[in-house]
Amino acid sequence: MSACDDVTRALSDGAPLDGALREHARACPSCAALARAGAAPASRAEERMPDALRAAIAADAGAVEPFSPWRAAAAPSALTALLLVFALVRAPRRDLSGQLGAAFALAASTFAGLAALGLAAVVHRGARGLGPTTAQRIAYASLALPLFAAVTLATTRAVPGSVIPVGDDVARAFVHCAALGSAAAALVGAGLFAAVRRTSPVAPALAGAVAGVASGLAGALFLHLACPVALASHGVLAHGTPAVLGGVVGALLGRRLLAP
Amino acid sequence: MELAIPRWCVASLPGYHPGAGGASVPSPWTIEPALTSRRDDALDALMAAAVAGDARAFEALYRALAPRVRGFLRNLSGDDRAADDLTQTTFLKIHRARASYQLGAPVEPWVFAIARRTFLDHRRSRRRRPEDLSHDGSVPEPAPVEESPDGFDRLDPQVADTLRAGLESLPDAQREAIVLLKVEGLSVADAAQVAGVTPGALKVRAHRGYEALRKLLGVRRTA
Repeated sequence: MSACDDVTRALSDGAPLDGALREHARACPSCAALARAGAAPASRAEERMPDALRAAIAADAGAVEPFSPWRAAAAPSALTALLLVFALVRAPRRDLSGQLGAAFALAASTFAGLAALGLAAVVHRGARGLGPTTAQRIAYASLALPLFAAVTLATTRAVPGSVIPVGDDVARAFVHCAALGSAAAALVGAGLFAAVRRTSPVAPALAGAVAGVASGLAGALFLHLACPVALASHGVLAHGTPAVLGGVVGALLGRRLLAP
Repeated sequence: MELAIPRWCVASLPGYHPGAGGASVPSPWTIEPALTSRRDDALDALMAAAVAGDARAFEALYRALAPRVRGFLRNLSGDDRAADDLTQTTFLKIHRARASYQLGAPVEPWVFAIARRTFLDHRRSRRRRPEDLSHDGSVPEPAPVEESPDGFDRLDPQVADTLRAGLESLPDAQREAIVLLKVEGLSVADAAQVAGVTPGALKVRAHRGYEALRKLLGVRRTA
């Protein structure tokens, strides 16, 4: 390992060039140049704000509420809770009493957990105020849907009162649930996007995708309480459509709405 | 509502001097890159005051951070004029998005993340419409660019040119990693957050970039 390699490693690690490395960098033209690569121009110590910028800022002056993850999570959480109450009180699935059990609870808690995880990934800022990394967002968006499908396949079961559509009814049930779930997801998503508008300078499209998938999973949770169709393929495809659509629409809207 | 900013807080800002029209004092460049991970509480306090509606605090924040933001954008874009415009756009966005600032979080990573996003949006729009048109639709004359002293000035001009061209030829992720690691006040963890990657991934990108630059420089390694 040469001294040049040590300099490269120190620079890559963000470490200062101390002692022998510093002496080497002074003597080695290549290392001296590398140490300067990317260095910012000398600062203008007295930097006055341009008048145009000052005027634009004055036009939008005033106190604002500082960002709070809890407050940002409140609106989408309340909308999801309202949807679930509506499903249970006004339109519960016909086979609900027969479904109540471990499998039903596992599916419901998984969908709720995935939606909550997505919500947290969008509103939580972490110690540095910038939220999860790009890789963590990609991991959520790409793992939530397979997990949803696996749990749906494993827990769907027919009980007295369940509906098993045949023929044209399969397509009709798909369209009905996909549309209903997407409408529910759109409601939650609208609340979530409004709450976190302009808050994601890092990878806003991915943040939008995560927000869309989370909203879609809230829609799937709504359908889980309202839809009596006991067909695993229906559960995966029709109930998963809101999350897939949410991810795509969220990614498209994210750059426009979530970037500062 | 206007918060009173403590005198020590503003006076301790880098580049902040009370009074107008002070002479420009270039920072002495040293071979050691500024890679400290210090937490600048004064800047955080100014941002908190700006969120509370204090316009003077925002202006002080601008004075303190604009040179560094401009240098960062200059190195990303390779264009002095674009860096000036992008700096103003960045601070306008910061002001409009001040409600999204999380009180208690360090302000610098947030500011540089917005600057980076502003650059990426600018580059995307330039790809769609590569020429700036004036109001009458004609292609404008290039504006004269004022030469500003930067870290390359102390290098042999040929090496400086090679280095500058080499940096601009690097893949975006590698150039961004090198530039972020040189931003004064950003730790490796902060820089990684700004780029949206883990610290390890940022170091790998920077290392690959430095290796590529060293090859371009074509100078033999010394033991």
